[in-house]
Amino acid sequence: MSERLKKKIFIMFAVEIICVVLLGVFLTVLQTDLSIKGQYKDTKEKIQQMQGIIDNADEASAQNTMSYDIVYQSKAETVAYMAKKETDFSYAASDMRQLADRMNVTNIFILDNEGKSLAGSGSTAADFTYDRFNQLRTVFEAGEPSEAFEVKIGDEQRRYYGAKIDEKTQAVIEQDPEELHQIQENTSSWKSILSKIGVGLEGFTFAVSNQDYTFLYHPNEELVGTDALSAGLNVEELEDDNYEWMEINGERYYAGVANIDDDHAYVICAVPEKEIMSSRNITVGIVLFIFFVVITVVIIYAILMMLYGEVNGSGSRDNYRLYKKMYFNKDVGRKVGSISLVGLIFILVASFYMQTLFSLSRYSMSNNQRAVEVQNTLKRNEEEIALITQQYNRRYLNKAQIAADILGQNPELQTREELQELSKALDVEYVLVFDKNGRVTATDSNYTNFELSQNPEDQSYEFNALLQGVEDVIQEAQPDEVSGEYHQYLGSVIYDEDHNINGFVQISVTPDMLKSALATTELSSVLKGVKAGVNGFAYAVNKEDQTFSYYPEDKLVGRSALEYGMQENQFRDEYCDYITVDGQRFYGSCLETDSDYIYVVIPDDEMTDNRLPVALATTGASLICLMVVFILLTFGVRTKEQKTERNVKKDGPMMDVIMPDGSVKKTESAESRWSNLTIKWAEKTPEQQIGSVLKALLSVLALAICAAVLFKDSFFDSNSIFLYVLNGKWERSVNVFAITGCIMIICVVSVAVMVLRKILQMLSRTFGARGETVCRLLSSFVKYISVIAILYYCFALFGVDTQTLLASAGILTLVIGLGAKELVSDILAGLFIIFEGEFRVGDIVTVGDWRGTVLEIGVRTTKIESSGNVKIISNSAVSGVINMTRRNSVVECEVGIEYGESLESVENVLRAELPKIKSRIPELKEGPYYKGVISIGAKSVRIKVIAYCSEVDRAQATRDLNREIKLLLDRNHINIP
Amino acid sequence: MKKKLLAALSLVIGLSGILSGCGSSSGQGTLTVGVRDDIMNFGYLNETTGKYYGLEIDLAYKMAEDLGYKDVEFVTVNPDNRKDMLLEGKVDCMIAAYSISESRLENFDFSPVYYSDESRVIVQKSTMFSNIEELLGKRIGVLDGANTAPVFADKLVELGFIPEVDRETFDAVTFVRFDSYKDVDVALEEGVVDAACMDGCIAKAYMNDERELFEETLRQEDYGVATQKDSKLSKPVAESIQKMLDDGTIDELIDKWD
Repeated sequence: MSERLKKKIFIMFAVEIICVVLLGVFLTVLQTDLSIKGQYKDTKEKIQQMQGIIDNADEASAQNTMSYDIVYQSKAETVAYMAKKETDFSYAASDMRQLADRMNVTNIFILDNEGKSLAGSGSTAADFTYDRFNQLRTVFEAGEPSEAFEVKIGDEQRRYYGAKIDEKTQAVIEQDPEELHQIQENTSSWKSILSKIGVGLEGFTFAVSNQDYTFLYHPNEELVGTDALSAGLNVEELEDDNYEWMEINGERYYAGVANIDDDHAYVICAVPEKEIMSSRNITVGIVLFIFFVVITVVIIYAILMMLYGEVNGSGSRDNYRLYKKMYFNKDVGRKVGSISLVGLIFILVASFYMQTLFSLSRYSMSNNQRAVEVQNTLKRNEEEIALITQQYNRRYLNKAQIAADILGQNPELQTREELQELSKALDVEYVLVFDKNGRVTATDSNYTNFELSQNPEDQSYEFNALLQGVEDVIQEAQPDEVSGEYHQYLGSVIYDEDHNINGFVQISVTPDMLKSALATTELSSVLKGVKAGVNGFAYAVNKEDQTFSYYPEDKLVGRSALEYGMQENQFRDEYCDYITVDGQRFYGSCLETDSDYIYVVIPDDEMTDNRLPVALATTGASLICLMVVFILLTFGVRTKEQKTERNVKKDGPMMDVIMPDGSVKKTESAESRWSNLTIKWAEKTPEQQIGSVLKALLSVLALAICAAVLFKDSFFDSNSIFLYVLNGKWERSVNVFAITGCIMIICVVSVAVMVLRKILQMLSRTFGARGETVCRLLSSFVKYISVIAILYYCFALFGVDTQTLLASAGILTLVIGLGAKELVSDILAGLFIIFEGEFRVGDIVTVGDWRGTVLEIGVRTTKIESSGNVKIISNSAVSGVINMTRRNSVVECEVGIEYGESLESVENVLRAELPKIKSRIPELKEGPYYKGVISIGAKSVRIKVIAYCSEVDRAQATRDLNREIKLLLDRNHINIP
Repeated sequence: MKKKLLAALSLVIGLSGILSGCGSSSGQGTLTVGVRDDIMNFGYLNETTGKYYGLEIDLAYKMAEDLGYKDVEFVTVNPDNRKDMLLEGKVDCMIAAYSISESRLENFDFSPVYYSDESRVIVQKSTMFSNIEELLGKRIGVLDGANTAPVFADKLVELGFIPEVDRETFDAVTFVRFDSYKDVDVALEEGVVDAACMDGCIAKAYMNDERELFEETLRQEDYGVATQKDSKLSKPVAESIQKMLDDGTIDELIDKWD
């Protein structure tokens, strides 16, 4: 190796490192910028929706509070009604206590109009004379029950409701509002709102008080209530619509802030830096690796070529273009140029592909995560529906019981007018009093002469149970048999003084409240709250008739999903791929519930926006780097004399062949192709050397992938996107995941096959000839099995139904057998020629009686050329091939010598003269050699002379040798008969 | 008086390590600032970290930097003791939601106004009160030592509910005094007081859905940085605050803590 080459190698690798570093920095900056921009968009969208989301929750909260208050206001009114109407209403503390228990309230008080307590069911910390309780006294003017309000005294939180008894007195209900707070907690607390709003993959939303800077909500429960400023937030950052990096407990987040002034809070959507950076690092890392491979290959290839040129003396003048002080290495330039171009395309494709892969897997994971959240919410809701229904039933039943108590003890109230008042106090539609025969005795409804039906089919039949010892009946809300309106009926038994059943009271209520309470648990309201990415959302398709049961655009609801672009195969659990709805392409995940398919989708254009710019920028930067490398590689400073000394060395198993286009290429001789001999490095051409380098690099990569696949669980986090790709929970169709899966399978299998074949090769060397045969057979077997396995598996990944494929193979065979037998066998034969490496383009072969150079191995035919004629042979007819691509072909010359001549003198002449022939026949590589006597014939002794030449020249060399031998014999007067 | 001033000065000088001249532009030394620890966004002490934060804290840092101090030490003052703390020189200056009033100007120098606020009346909605007139005869919660009570009396005079002569001795309302705003908050919640009166910025931190601020405001409160009368610090402090007012620093800070 010359000094200048050493220098060049050194410079080139230095340049390579610089290029990789520069590209790395460039990509990191570019990708960080893009990631943050993307995150900014995502976060901004969330922040802008925040006010709306919170308003909705506040509305739900107000709704819940209202329905809760209505219940207790009616209780207060009921107490007032009792105090007013009942002749024997007892103000004794014990009776008040009993009433409070019966009504499920914490305390009942009777106050005068200044707030002095006249009677009560227990003690309270509240001093009702304080102005704080002025609200209670509004009843005296308005006559309506007072608005609810809460007072916290010490640790006791109480809610108060007042109702007017007369001008001087009022009934007050004191209630521990724990139940209400519980409902609020479930529907409108910061936790219930914000825990549903995910940002990115691991990002979250939290709230900080704008009054005292404590955490109102944070996914980490421990932080709730602690000081946000001491956790690392800055007050400057907490401004409405502000987006920047924030730090919470030492971790950095990219966050956006919404100031929700009504609720005295800042709501912050935060994405961990880790997440943004890790997705960036993956992209940058992969693109950089590809670039590294390409540039390394280019440089090594160029160096190997120059080295080869130095050793083999290809540095003849026509390989260089000379300038004044510089030279340009044309040979290297051409080849490096072409592989640089290929490498560039590879970089473009690979970076585009990798970004698609990772962005899709990221979004798949985040969609799946949202889907799981929806599932959990729905599950929780199911419980909640039961809970709320139960709660409402209990509330209504309590009204029925109270009504039964009042009416049982005060039969004089069982008149239409009084019942009207009672209905109003109880806040129910109607009250019906039944006697023990099941006839209505009094009511404020229209059913004055109603009688319980004895027909089990009828709605009222259920209430017969009350006359037979059951205390209460709660009927489900249903359309009224008579009026068709939606009503719920509840009944409670009336006892007489001796505790005998004396009829019952039935109340009717409209279940509107329940309905509105359950509204937040409906599928549509759950899906409405789901936010994915910037513009992503969730929708549902009914399982039964495949119509949209919820979609953000109202016009689609109720329409057939199939008509709007969805496919039949998209209706299944865990579907995860592109979905087209109403002309827009989404990427989404599906989740199956009892009644619906729920989809969480993100618009296609949203997630792959950055792909092309990054890929193009990468390619552009790579182009610049490669150009620099190219120039450095091909141009050199001209020295006085380019070395042209020829170092003749043995070609080893390599030999020249002439390609159809006339160019001369190196190829491995036919015999060495199967000999399992390793070609020595030095004997390889630069192409083979770079091939080996590439093979080594790929093996390393394949091994890495192989290791990653095998030990995936210990390598990656459970929510790593690598694991998502490896786990294969993606859709089986032609998509980027399936392609990746195929590549991985090919890598893994080829590594396994490579190892196996190496072992077999080693074994075959150890054992004898039989072992060799078996090992070769096994090796070939392994090769085909692996190819078939890969094909089968890849088909499976692409969503081809392999079962049917196998089954239909039989039918296929039949079809082939009948029709296109010839064609198929030709195609297969062609494949086998290439797979088995029977011959290559440029080889000289003999097929049957035709000897020539292989021009082309086509799908159906093989073209073999001989002295300008091309014979076209069907691949299936290519059999009994003699591959004559060998290093040296033998030129033979047999000649008869008369018996009169002395064999000894002839041999002397030949020994002296044969070496001279070689100089006259330039095609000969070795020889000619005299090889002795073939036969002793009737008239002559036949001797043989052979020589070696290349196969291409064999025919001409044979003729030339024959001529030379004849002339030689003539010159020496040796007679030929 | 003069002795105290000297003591304060020598403290400053001693801390700054400079024996001659004014220590205020030395680039080192510690400025001791009296601040509040209970007013969110103005001066608040985080008890877990032991750090103060708020508008006045930031202002103190900026001012100290401007005056050339290396370090700032915060000392909690409350309406009860703040006057003495400054008089006795336990603090160099006071940035503690301290409003400028004539009586205070007798004892102290004040910088230009860095924040203007108005005292507000806060009530529970359930009291059904909506104006000051309805509060006559009621109990008003105030912070002990704050000048809310006289300001409230002024308002009553202004509105004509009490004659001017009764200004000092009126009993139209009862003031209930508490040691901390937290106590005022609890008393308001429990109904022990019918209304509370405090500076607007403080009231904001104690607002919730169940409470209401009266539209009517009491006298404007102008907060200034207080220093001892005629102390060497007075002028630089005033200049520094004026500078920050002019270049928008204070507006920025107010915006930040708003």
